[in-house]
Amino acid sequence: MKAKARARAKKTIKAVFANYRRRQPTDGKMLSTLQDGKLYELFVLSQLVVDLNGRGFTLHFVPSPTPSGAAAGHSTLKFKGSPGKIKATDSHFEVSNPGSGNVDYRIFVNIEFDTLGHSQNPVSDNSRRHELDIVVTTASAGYPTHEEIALGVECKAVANFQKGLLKEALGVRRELSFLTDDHYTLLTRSGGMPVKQVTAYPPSEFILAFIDPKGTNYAESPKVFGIELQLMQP
Amino acid sequence: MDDDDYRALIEVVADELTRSGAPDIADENHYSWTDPDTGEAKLFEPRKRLIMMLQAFDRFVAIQDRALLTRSLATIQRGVRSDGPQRVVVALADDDGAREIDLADAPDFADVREGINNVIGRLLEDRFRYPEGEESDES
Repeated sequence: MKAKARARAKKTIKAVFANYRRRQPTDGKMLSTLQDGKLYELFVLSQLVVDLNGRGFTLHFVPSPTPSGAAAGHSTLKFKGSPGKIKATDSHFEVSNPGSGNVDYRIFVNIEFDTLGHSQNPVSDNSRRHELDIVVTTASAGYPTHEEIALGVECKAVANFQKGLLKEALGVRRELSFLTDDHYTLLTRSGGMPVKQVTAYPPSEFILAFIDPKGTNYAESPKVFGIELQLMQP
Repeated sequence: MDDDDYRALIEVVADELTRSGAPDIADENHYSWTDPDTGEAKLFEPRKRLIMMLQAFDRFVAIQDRALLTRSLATIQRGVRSDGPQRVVVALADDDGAREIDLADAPDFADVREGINNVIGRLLEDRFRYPEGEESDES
């Protein structure tokens, strides 16, 4: 009976994996795009839209220009394989102030920002900029400065959370803000409710989104530095 | 099934993960804990390790599933005043210049995820003793 159970389990497990491989895309670029977590970035973006809505902001989507052909007329959201600066043609969301209705911020994806270190002492090497997967920013062109970011999100679609992800997030946080006493966040100052405070100046919010529940065991110390670890499972 | 059975199944899963392009998920270091008294790292017991490995594989598949696109677009649509995005692409640099990957071409992994969760359920309840469909209520 025991040998039969083991054989049955082996056969079932092998069939599941074979089914997975059969359905994998044959296009290597598609496969790496998916395994790099682009769909997960979209999922986290959708959760951010819900969050900002719940805080009273109004959002409008501004699409990328669509090509002619089959995609014509379809409103397109474009992610970048490699991060870069904000371009006029980048799709984004306008985030309007809960009180005035003015567009205070925009949400862009896959953006590099000029670091706090660069603002302190201008640098020209590769340490000048860091990437954020999703930003809520006052900037609408070029590379946002660290002061122009109201909220940044790093998305980690890795099956097993490891401490290295946290160290990376701590490094990005360091390049966004100084550690200070509590300040109302920039989004709170724009009328977002409920009120949020952060021990950082400029008082940007910073989220590390991840899929492995083990990540929740690493939340307490980064919180001191204004990093919110959020388990966001598809 | 006993620990030897679960160890044998871990070997199968590790091999399949490698063949499926996810060897990191098989790395045993992910499935250990530190004993607070001795400070030593210890592996979880084999059955738990096997289930954790399969759960990690499910997470790996979930982030590639087209269903995530559909769900996310519907969520965004509910949260914006204007029309939300209908199409999502990733712009890549290619040898032939710029190229766009349309995420609507992502595979549908619903039955793969169902299969993984079925295996996890059968392991949790020790139901591999019976052929599928002939499982006893006693377990």
